[in-house]
Amino acid sequence: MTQSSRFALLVAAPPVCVAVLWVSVLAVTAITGTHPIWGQQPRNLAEAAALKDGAAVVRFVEQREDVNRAGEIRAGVMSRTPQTLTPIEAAAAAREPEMVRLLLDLGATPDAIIWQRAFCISDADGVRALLAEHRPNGAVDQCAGS
Amino acid sequence: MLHHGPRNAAYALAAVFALAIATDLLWMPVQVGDSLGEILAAQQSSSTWASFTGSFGTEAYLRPLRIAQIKGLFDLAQGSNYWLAYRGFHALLLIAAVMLFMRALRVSTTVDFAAAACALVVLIGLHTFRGTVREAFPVNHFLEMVVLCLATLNLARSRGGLWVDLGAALAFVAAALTLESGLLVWVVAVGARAVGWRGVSARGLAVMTALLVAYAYLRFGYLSTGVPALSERSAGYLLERLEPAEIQQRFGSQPLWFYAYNVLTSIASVLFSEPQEGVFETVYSWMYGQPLWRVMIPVVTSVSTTAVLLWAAARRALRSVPFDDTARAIVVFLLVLIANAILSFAYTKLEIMSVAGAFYALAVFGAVRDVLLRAPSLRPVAAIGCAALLGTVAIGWSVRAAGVHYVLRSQAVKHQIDWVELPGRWKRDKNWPSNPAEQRLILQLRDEAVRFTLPNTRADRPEWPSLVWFE
Repeated sequence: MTQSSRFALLVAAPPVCVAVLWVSVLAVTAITGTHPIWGQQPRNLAEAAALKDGAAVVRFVEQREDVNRAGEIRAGVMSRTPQTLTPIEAAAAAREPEMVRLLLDLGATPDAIIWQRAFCISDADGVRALLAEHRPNGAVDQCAGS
Repeated sequence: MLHHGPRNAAYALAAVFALAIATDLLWMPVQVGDSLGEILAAQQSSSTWASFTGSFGTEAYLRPLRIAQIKGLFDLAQGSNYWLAYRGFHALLLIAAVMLFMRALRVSTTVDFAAAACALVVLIGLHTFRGTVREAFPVNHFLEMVVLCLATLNLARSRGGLWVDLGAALAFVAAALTLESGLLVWVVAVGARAVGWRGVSARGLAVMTALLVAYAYLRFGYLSTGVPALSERSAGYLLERLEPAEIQQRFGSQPLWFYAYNVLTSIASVLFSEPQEGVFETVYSWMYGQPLWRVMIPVVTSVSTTAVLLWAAARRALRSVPFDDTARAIVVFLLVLIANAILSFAYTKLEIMSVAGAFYALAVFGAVRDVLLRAPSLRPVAAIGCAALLGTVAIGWSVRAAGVHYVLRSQAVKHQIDWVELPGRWKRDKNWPSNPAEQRLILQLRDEAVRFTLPNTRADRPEWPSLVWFE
């Protein structure tokens, strides 16, 4: 290889690698349905809320999944161990007021126990303020340790 | 002698990049912000011609073809394929831009191919390019300006003829009536002819100049359309973003300083990737503990590349190297850069400088080619330094180019979330339209958007993409 070819290779190799990598990422995603970098796809409504995936929340609701029903959130999504939470608790734990609002718009009606758990699970002001606007009868905003 | 191997390889590389970005664009819903209002207006309009004529007489802008295009694509969708019409058009524009860019490089040797590969990642990786793909309103007119300016450059480099002159004149009319940046088509044609690319004849240039004068008369004389006011939009200034009222308060009595700041920072942003939209991001990130990699990679690569460009220009200016295509590309780039920055006087935006960004990448092609031709004859120490510089430039720009995938994936999720939240928000804010046809259209667009299964960039994992790239 000549000196000139080495320099040309040095300049051409990185762009060619990026082009191949980019197309490969798209191809892998198309074939497997999972993006190699952002591969987390929700399995139920609660996971969709935990992952802040509003479109998936809407899709699950359109598939008649109960917006108030608790679902298992896999280990690694929110914490190291699996958890069982209602969608609104998951949205509150994700500190995502817009997700809480979306679930309420989609018909979520937390009872007093669920409401209190959601209220206490989140330390985000926006989430707590929003939940406070939708407090069911009998629910209290006192959290253990607060 | 023309070698088809390197040329074909260069086109193949351009096609791979273009298809990858086009796929990313198609994997994205139509956006809500600055777009839904235009689509609803298109729905109300009786025809494309009515949209065209109805947009004359606005206070600060003359962009009738922009509105007409939106209506034309709306009708093309035939009530059911809005995503395909708008995003498909965006993807086609993108492919056209990349292929026209590659065509303008005239690759014929292996060294040309290497320089072209580098120029391609400069084009895609430069922050001004992000503005041509990140958003669409619902058409990305800034990308159209890039396409029309590159088309004009290719015409200028052709053998010429009546059809070439006609094509250049049409490109100017289409561009000027779409966005103010469209006037750059005239700058490209004039600049190209001045440096010796004479595909557009003197007669063709005279017609384009007459059209420019007619545009000026139409805009400032007949229609009395002004220019954007000082307080038209928010804008970046030093380390902060100023809202319109703040801009009016600070610069209302001395707007020239603000305009000069916008022009100078627009020029600097193309050459050095700083400041971006008027804000010195590197200083800001350093002062406020933001991730530094994502601001340092652009600055280091841009400064290194501009240094190579200056070296190539200086060689020609000082050592009497013949006035070749590299010199021509550099001169045309400088003209476009200055003109583009002047057009950006009212407010700075990445998108507005996208034409200058594309011509920067064209000029970089010649400069990198120069280095590649010179490097083998250097002494060992200088050759190592040269290799380090070229490696930094090629790897740095490749990383920046790869970031476009991240930008588009993040943007797709943002557009989708906007659609998900829109009905609830508009109903709460009492903005939900009472017209059933508008309601149906909004819900149809929302359904199209929600159907996309997108990679979830909002889950905050992994963290490294946001450390390396801006969204």
